[in-house]
Amino acid sequence: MDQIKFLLPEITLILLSFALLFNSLIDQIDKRITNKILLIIGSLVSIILLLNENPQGYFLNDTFENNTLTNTIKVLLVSGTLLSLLLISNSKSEQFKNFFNEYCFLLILSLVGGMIVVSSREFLTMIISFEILSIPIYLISAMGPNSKKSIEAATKLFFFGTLSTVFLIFSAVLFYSISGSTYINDIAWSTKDSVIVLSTIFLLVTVSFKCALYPFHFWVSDTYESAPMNILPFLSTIPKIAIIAFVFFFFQNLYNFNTNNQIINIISILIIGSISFGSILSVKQNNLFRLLAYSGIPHAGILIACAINPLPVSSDFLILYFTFYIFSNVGLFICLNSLPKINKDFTINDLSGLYKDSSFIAICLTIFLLSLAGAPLFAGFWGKFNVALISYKSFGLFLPILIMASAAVSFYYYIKIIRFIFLNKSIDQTYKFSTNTINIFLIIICVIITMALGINPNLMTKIF
Amino acid sequence: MILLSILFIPLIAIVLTNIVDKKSFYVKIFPLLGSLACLLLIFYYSSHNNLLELVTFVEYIHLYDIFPKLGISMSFSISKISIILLILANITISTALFSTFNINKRLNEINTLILVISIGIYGLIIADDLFVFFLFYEIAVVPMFLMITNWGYDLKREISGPFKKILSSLSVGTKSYGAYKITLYLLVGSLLIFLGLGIVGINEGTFSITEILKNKDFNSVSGSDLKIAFFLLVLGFGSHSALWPLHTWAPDGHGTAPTAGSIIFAGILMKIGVIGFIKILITIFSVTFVEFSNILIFLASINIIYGAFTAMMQDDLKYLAAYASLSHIGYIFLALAMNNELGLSSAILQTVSHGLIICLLFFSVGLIFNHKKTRSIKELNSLSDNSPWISKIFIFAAFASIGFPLTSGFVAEFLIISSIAESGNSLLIVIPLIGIFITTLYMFRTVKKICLKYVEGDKESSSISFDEKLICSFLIIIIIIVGIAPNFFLNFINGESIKIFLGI
Repeated sequence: MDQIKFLLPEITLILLSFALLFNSLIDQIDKRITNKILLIIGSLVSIILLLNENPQGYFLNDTFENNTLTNTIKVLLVSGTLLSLLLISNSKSEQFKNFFNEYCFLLILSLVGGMIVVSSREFLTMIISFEILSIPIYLISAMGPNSKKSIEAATKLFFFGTLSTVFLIFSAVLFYSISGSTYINDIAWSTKDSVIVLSTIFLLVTVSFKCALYPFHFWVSDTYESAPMNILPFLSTIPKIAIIAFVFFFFQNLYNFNTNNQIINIISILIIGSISFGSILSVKQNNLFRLLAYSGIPHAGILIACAINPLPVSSDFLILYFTFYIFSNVGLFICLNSLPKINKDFTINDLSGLYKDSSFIAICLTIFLLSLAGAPLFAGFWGKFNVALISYKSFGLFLPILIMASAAVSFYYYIKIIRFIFLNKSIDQTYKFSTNTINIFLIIICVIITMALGINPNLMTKIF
Repeated sequence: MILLSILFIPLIAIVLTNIVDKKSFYVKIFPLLGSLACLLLIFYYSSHNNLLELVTFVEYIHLYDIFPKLGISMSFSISKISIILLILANITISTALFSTFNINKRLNEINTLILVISIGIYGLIIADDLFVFFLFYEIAVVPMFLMITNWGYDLKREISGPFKKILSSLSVGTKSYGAYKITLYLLVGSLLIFLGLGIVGINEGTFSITEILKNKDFNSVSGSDLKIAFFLLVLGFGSHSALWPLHTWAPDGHGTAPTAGSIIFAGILMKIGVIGFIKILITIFSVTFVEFSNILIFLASINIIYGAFTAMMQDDLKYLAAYASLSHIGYIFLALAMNNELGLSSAILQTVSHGLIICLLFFSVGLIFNHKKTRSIKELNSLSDNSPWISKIFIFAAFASIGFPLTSGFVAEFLIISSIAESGNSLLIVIPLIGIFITTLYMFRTVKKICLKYVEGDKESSSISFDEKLICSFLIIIIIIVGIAPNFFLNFINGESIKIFLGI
């Protein structure tokens, strides 16, 4: 019973998800208000627990670990999910009105999975938490507006996702066969056996599938195009960040041994591939959502490059990048959701004249896009360029050149969108904007965080 | 400390410009007032600190740490040289704001962009940290793109030759082509600069320029990585200041940009690269710079002569001015490569003087285009009969860019030639002389063709407005003051302050 208090934030969230589920069974005049109140209170309680009460150290037979870093990442995950759930709760579409509680239940379960992924230090808990993280996502991605297309995408995602889990289990078995223990800290990285390379490859297959790194990125565009639009802020950030944080903790011991360079070489193939291919693939896209899907690939590559960096300062920069990525991405998708007539066939051209119709949305969208591109005075600038600096220090000149080149290309495709936003001509957008106050409030929160981190990025290390 | 508010005054002006009614007169006035307030602040600062009499003056400002573990902090340093560059930047920005007066299309937005660029340039000049330097560098570069795509001109250029199909598919000559070309050049350039700065900072353990200059071991340990950093920085700054093989964005960018854009390009953006050379390459890499200065002399000579000859061939007045400024940038690099104090101070003087003259030249070309609706030398004639004011301004700008005595160009070019003589390579004097000779040729020819040649029947006369007269006479007066009494400016860039600047 003593060990339970280590998991209090997660337990709070699970209770919240059940409370939301049962709330839909009770007859009420307006369920939405009670839903929102429950959601905000539950998430805030878990954030406060994470910030203050959460004890640190190993627990439950050393299978989990809590420290300042994991708590910070969990706070980011919970706040990102809170923002995207509040967005869903404002949705106008019938589907979201009727099934809001079910969506909430699934998404919060997936969030809890992500939080356990960050903490897990043992293979069995790791596999279970990976599954908790991904199974709700398979379900939700099938609930898109165009049911035929979204079921196709969800089936694809499900088949390859389960296959990647098989790879994960296999890699756990191989790791166990080398070190005779299921604990991650016991992995014998210094062994000369080639099995360790094989098992790392199997693990990386799963990781790169789950966060859409280069050779396994194919599902991402289909899913973004056909999944319901309201869950994109969740889908594009939370799983990716949880798993990259896991990668950071998993490979922490790698440099303590004077080890074989093969493992680092394999990871570097992933990084180089996803940064370069992601950038190239995004250039040609004309559909807005496909572009945003592909442009997430180089970001994931840069994040992995930061996560496997041996310098102690890399954890600070990882947190900075996570914060910037969550808030810029969530803000971007909230902005896109408040556009009238938005649908999944939305091309970049359809954005033209947005500034004339709604200058607030246009300016906020520009801020988020510039931040993702890495323009100065926005948070993304520090994120990208710090990773370039530290990867120069540990891996030499090639990786920073690649990151810089991808930043240049990303400027091209993000500014292409901005150009259409500020174009003078308006393509018969006679309909009215129906942004409600909660959406505007959420957007303003994201803008404030993006700008504040852009001016003083040291803020993050001061808070946590 | 008080000087840092020049980074915030433009922000206030931006807010005020966007609050008031878009059609009102205040949209024109508020940005100008903001820019004027910056100028007054600079003057107040220099008189308050008694800069004219002090021989050496440096003020360090440390605001806050950004990443203490990497040695990055938000810090600034103000010296006499940065004051003179700030004044130049301010005059250029004011001229650009004046030149937007007759734009009716979304005036508040173009003024906002110009003010954002001004923040970038002020911050760049006074930055003391390499990373902060890069930060402001990017702020100055990014708005250029939006400016050209929204307010630029499409050129009617005949495409011919073997690559006709490819060139027409790239839509050569349109404003989006110019905008993409310039943005890609400037972005790739700034990324190279970032890599170079990052290599320096990481190897040193600190990003502060003053700290690096204090560390005397830096130049003696010059390893292979630092040489790479040097070349990356030369490429980056060179592409921004249109050094010879990297110059191709300049004519297209100038040709398609609005008048305000051209003024900012030539007056400031090309100077950003020069400021980078002065502020980083000469100070931090002093040993490596001397080692490779012959290459720079070679490139600068090509810039001078190639720019002048190409300007001779042009029919479009803006292209002519663009190539002329290419040739004048060459003088700056030639003076820098001489590696003596006179060379550095003459380079800074030429930076200031060329900034002023090119502003006037582009402003007069803009006036010609607004009134005659063409920029082609073939079609223009009898300006001095139809529109005497425009013709007088253009003639003055042409004479000043030749380096006529009593203008600032004369003093700067004279000092450059004496710095070449001082360095001992007396043969090199031939290059600026050839440059001046060809400049005289094409400028006189153009003046004769468009101003003095009289054609019967073209009677459409036009006069310019009061505010245009005001800014032109203001620029002319400053150019003449620098030409007659360069002491005031040379006081700021004499040997002592340069020694402080170089950290000797």
